[in-house]
Amino acid sequence: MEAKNLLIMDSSPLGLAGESTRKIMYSVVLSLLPALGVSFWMFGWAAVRVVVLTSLFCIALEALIAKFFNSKIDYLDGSALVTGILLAMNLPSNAPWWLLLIGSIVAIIIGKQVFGGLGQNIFNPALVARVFLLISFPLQMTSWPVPGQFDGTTGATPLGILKTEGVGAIAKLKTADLALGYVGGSLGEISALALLIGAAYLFYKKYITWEIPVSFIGTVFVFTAIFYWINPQQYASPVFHLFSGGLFLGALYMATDMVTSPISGRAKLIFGFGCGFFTALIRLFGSYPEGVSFAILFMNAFVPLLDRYFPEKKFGMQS
Amino acid sequence: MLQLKTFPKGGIHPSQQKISAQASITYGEIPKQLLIPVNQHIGRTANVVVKKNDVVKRGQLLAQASGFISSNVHAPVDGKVMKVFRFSLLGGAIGEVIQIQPDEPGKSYREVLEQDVELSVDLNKLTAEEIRKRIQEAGIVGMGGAGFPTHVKLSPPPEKKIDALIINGAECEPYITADHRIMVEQPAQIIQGIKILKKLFPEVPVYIGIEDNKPDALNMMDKAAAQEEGIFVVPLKAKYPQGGEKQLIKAVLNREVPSKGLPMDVGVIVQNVATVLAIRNVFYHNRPLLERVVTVSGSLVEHPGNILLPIGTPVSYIMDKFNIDRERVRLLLAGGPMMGRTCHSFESPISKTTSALLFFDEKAFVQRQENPCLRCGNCVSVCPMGLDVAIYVQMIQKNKLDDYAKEHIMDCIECGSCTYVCPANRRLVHWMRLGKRIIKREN
Repeated sequence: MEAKNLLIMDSSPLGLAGESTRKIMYSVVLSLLPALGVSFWMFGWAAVRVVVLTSLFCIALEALIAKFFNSKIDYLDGSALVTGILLAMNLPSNAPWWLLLIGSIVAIIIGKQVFGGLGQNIFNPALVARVFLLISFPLQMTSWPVPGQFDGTTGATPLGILKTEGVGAIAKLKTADLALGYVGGSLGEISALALLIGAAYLFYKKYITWEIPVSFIGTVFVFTAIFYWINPQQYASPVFHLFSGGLFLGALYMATDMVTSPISGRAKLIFGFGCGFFTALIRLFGSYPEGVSFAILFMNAFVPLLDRYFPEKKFGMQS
Repeated sequence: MLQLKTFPKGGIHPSQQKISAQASITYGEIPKQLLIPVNQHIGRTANVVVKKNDVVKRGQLLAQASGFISSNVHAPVDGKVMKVFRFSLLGGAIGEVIQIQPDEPGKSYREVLEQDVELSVDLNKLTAEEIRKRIQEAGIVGMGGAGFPTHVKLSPPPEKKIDALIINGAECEPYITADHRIMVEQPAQIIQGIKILKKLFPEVPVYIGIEDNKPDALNMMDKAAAQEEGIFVVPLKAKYPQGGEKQLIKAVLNREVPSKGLPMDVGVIVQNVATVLAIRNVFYHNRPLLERVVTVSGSLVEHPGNILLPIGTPVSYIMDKFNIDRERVRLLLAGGPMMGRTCHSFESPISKTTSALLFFDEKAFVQRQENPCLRCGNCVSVCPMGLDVAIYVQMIQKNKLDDYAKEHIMDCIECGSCTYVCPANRRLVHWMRLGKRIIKREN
């Protein structure tokens, strides 16, 4: 019998819902467009340059690894692109090209491929790169161009001002400006609103769930509110903490990364709480102005434990 | 209208494709030859008690159960035993079959059935012992798919107090409409079967669970049950796998069968509607399990339908009957697309558990390349058993199961919902089946 006439043998189920890795990854890219749009508006071509370069670097690096080490890697599956864009959103728009290249190398090679590639990494690759750059190149990583000013003026982020100059210095910042993005910061830190719009799409597609963002942001709010209530002269308001820095970027896009977050709902709540707790701790008492990246990376390490000890409730296990 | 019941956790909504839902049950003819599988049930293989050239009568024993958890097999038509040999069965396994040359090939099977006189049954005279014995002798097995010998299920140990019977008419698999048609066309007979079962468990309420995508079946069964005491029709939400035994019990009675447990552990016995009808025929026609309704559907079937066929009818007969182009068939499924099995021979015969035969061309088949797990958690969120599928599968693939995984993998009901939703196209339920085998082997 000719091969074409043979019956197909496979294991059930034969039908599929039609989801795919590519669909998920490119949906994440799509959802990042509003935030990218805002940062392009605020920082101009410099921001476009950062995003394009990190994306290209990340995809090219993954393609190189696919060529030389593991031909099974699909470097166009969108995951390298997502890492590239998220890395860009963590960087200042005036970052030199070599900083972008080093960041991409750390993200793709050390953050992802040494663990075994997609799905195997313990830590969020873009955050590994950000923290690496922050520690290695503090100067380049803390001089933030001011949005809407294209003359190369740099300044500190609101959280940086808070850390160095105290609560009085941030009093003039308006909450609306913080939420919409008229403040200094990295590409993705600036507009909470644009990030929320993008994340709403991911919620709709069910690619992210509410647990991590809500418990993360909620914990930061409650924790900072307690200290604000104790002493408003020394501590900034919870609203300020909510809309400054990378909280929304971290809570909506970094902490919800499927690969590096827990699976069950309960574990996600605890994970989000941990992220929020350590973010607030670092912001209020640490030496760095911002703690989102450190907090998420720290909690990433607990994911296997959380998966193991707070799993989905099993059928037939009710007491 | 009652509120729709359902199981709470997980489940999916695949396209239902119940194309043959309005096609009345038709009857085929006696094919030129029958291949009766000896093993059509879960349990020990039956012993063949006929030999080559034996003349057999309709209803005569061909293979005898070889223990309590085993099942008899009978001749569906008069004929001659040609050969006993090993052959490919539906589902891919190779097993012993008894080839029978019918005396009257081409005769309408309907005529054969009409020759069976309808007996009057006095329920009061039947004892529980007699009912169990006759069900056992008749070779009745669960016709929903698993094929577990029914007399075993109906004989719970005395310490297990049964306080509810559930009749499974959920039929949640896409395409399959065999049970649906039985409920629409033979509701009174199903009720007669239920009343026989009630003799085994007096005073116990009976719930007939039917998904709401079968309003005509709900209506007919409701009418038939209305005159009876203690028989209730329960409309269920159409959601896969609503007809899974444990999910059905949870939906109807809100009881959870404990991990590694059986329905009788929560005082319940579940029987499929087709099985109940077969039980009814044992008493009203003195007929063992000889035939079943099979849904014939799929993209290559122009007029999908439901056909009553003697056990042992080869697939090729059905293909001729339904004008299915052999050259175009690339995918032959015994059962539904979620839990059915691909088959590799058109000469394989139908068995007591074949609820559907689906014929597709290559377009229906998605070439799957398994990609790395993203830990998206889809498999976990749809698992009706609450299993951490993604995590277990990674362990199974490395053949390194920890105690936690071993504790839970055996609870997998193999419904396939996880594979259905996996964005990385991973054959998760396939790996789970393998994991169950690894654990069974270790024990």
